[in-house]
Amino acid sequence: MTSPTEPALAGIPIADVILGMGVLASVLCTIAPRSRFAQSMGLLGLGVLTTLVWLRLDSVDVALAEASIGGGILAAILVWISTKAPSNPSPDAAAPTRWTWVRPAVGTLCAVTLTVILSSVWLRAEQALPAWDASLSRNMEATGVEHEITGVLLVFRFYDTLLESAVLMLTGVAVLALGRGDAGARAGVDVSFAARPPIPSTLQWFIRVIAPVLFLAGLWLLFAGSSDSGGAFQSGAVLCAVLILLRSAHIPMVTLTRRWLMPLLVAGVLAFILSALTHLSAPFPFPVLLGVEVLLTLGIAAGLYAIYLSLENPA
Amino acid sequence: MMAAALSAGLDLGAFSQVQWYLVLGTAIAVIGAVRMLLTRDLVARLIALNVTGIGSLMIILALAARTDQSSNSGAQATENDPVLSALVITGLVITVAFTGLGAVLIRRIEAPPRVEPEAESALDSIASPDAEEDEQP
Amino acid sequence: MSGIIELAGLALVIGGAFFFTAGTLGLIRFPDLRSRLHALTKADNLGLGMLLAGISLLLGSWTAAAILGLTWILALGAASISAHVLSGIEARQQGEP
Repeated sequence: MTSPTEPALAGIPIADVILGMGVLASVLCTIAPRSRFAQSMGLLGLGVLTTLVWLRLDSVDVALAEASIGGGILAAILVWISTKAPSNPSPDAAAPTRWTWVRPAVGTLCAVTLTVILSSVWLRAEQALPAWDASLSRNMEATGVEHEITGVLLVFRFYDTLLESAVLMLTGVAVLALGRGDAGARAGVDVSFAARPPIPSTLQWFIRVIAPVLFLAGLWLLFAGSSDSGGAFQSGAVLCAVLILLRSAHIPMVTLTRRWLMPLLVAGVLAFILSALTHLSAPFPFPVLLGVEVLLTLGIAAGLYAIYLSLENPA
Repeated sequence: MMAAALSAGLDLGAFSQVQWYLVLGTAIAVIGAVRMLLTRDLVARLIALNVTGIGSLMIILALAARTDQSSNSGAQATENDPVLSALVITGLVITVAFTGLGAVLIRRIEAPPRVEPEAESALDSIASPDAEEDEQP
Repeated sequence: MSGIIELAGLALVIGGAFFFTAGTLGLIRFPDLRSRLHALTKADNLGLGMLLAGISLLLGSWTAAAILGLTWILALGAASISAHVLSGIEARQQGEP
């Protein structure tokens, strides 16, 4: 948070001004290039600077989520898409248009409309404090967790968390269904066992050594979420990163992918719905909450890993 | 309404960290949205949609930080608004979900069309998960 | 005593930033993959180590120093293994056309 002794420019701390300029520069580096590879790398750089912005705004949870999900898993997705689909089949300049003023006019109109709408939202909201502050702090002891964001995610607004996990589950189902291969229920994951290029043995050794460390870090993030920064989503992203690393090392995971990927994908959402249906009046007791959170984490890891697997799949 | 709010903001003569990030988030969201609407390349659209998401999340998190400053002066600083922070985390997860789905869809859309197998062998291979035909990805 | 520690921490942080800048400059300007990997693995990791050491001095806690040291070791491992794999791939690509 900004202390009164920080150097400031018209009330804004200098660190924020420099960081904001850097973020704008990386946005332009992401938007402007024509090559897909440059755009993907620009987005990754933007993600790193955005993590710093979240830290400046005093939110460690969001910074952890951005670093793990936005930086780690998104990096895997973007690297695949920019190396496997490197060329743009329909470049902008090649499209003939009858009226050349349409595109700049539409762009300007959309920009003005969006600016007006967004500014009116935050100009109104900026002066008013949120109405849920007092009731939130009053009801935190009844939830069983000490960290407020985890309490919000798992107890007060658990409908949002349920729908978010359902979105990730449906995304996993959709990408597995899009996989090419032989027809059948396991078409999506079967192609992941095809032959892959050889890797040096040092990579395999290194991944075998650090995978338990990362696994421990992921588990710690899950259980630390009850009293400190952390939570199910950050932990699920780190666990998915462990799976991706194991796959890069060609460590055989046939049983995991064939038998456990799809059940894990749906177990979190199902457990959440079942426990919500059986506890209609009060927040869940702590063992149920913990079980649901563990299954949610595994479901998130499975969903992100399914996305990664399907990126290798379609020809 | 907006003119009154603008003049109220300019009267102070100084801005705050929250306002700086609000303006920055608006700028990023507008740049990303306009780029997404005007370009034809599918991957550029996906990346611009990501940038728009980052801009809008910056607006929400800057609003979450505003409770910090209004109750700051000498008293113990309270935490960020947890409801808005939870919304931002939800937004990040959904961003990576739709980016992944979009990436898979883009690869299918832009992939060269492959020769479909015969209908009978397709029906046969439904019964047994491992079929003889080896599709090279 | 604490003034010396703070000064040492600041010096380490500034030195780390300098090495990071040098590494990035090398990444941009070097002509070859191998020399770029040199810049990435040597200069960047030294800069990271100095930065983390300076931060742990400024924070003043042994727990933070231990966790930051573990982070540095993991980053070292990741950078060196990635450099090894990348140069192996390039050697294979250039050896067999």
